[in-house]
Amino acid sequence: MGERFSILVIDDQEMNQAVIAEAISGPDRHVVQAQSGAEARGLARNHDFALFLIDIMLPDVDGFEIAAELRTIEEYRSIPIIFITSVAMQPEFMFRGYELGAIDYLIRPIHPAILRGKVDAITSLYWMNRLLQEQLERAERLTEALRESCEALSSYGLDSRSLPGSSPGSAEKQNIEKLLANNKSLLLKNHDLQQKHAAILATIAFPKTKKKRSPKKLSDTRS
Amino acid sequence: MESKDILLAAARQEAQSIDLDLLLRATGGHKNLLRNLLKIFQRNSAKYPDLLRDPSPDDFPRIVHALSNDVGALGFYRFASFLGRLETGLRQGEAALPSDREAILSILEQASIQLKKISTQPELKEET
Repeated sequence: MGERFSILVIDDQEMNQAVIAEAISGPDRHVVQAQSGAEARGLARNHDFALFLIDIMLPDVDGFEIAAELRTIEEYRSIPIIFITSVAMQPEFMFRGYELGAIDYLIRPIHPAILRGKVDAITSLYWMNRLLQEQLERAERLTEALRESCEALSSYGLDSRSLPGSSPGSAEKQNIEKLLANNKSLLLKNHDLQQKHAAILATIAFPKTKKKRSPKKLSDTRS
Repeated sequence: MESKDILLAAARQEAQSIDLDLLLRATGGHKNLLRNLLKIFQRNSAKYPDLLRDPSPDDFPRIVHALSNDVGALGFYRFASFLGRLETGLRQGEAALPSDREAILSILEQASIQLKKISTQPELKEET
């Protein structure tokens, strides 16, 4: 099984969990459910989540507090959060949610199609982000290879002993100069592309690299 | 905030007019989800009469909250609105009235009867 988009749903109500799981599940997703803030903390440390769905009213802590705690974990500093509530509907609660970096604040009852549409959009953004990251890494490798090639060609062309029988203006020398000019042009274009990729990635709210963690206690995961 | 009485009247009316179409609309047409929700609701709703008999001032908003989520998931939006209004009031210091508890139980009973009938309808039979 390849990489999947992992979502942590923090909600203590069984019927809410059933609706959310049905609405957001998919072959490219891994949905993990926590029923309390304490359970969410433990799961967050052992997984790489790319989206949090947090109910505001949890049995042991309010959803804002758990979101603030998750934000202190480096890898979750910019992860999208969707808050869900059936009671905290006043503007001050909504502002608090958005101050914590929420990308949405949903009021129950939630129709499954609405939630699915939102999660689908975030999932697409995630996969585009991953693709862009891969392209950026490829561009970085290509830049490095071109730079090395330019250096090698420069030293080869400057060293007359490397070109037996060649004289200034000879065909071999001209070919090397042409190749060098091509490589330099490619290097500039690739560098420009690399910078554009990096600039786009900087605007998208997903971590640039996946964490490497050893999976620990997964037995308490309901997904 | 909308009047509790208006919301209560709407909730009573809604409980009498529950049908399969309403439930399927609320669950996006997912019959498996609906079957699952009906099972959970039947189990949960059996607990509410005891829970609501004499709840402490701290417990009452929590029970109302849980019930509001349950009925909202099934698409009883008016009942959920009434419960939401009640919960907000309780959390803001409004007194818990026995008449509110009686109203909740009466609507819940009506809804449970309707849901029991719906859950046995052939359209909701599990595919084998």
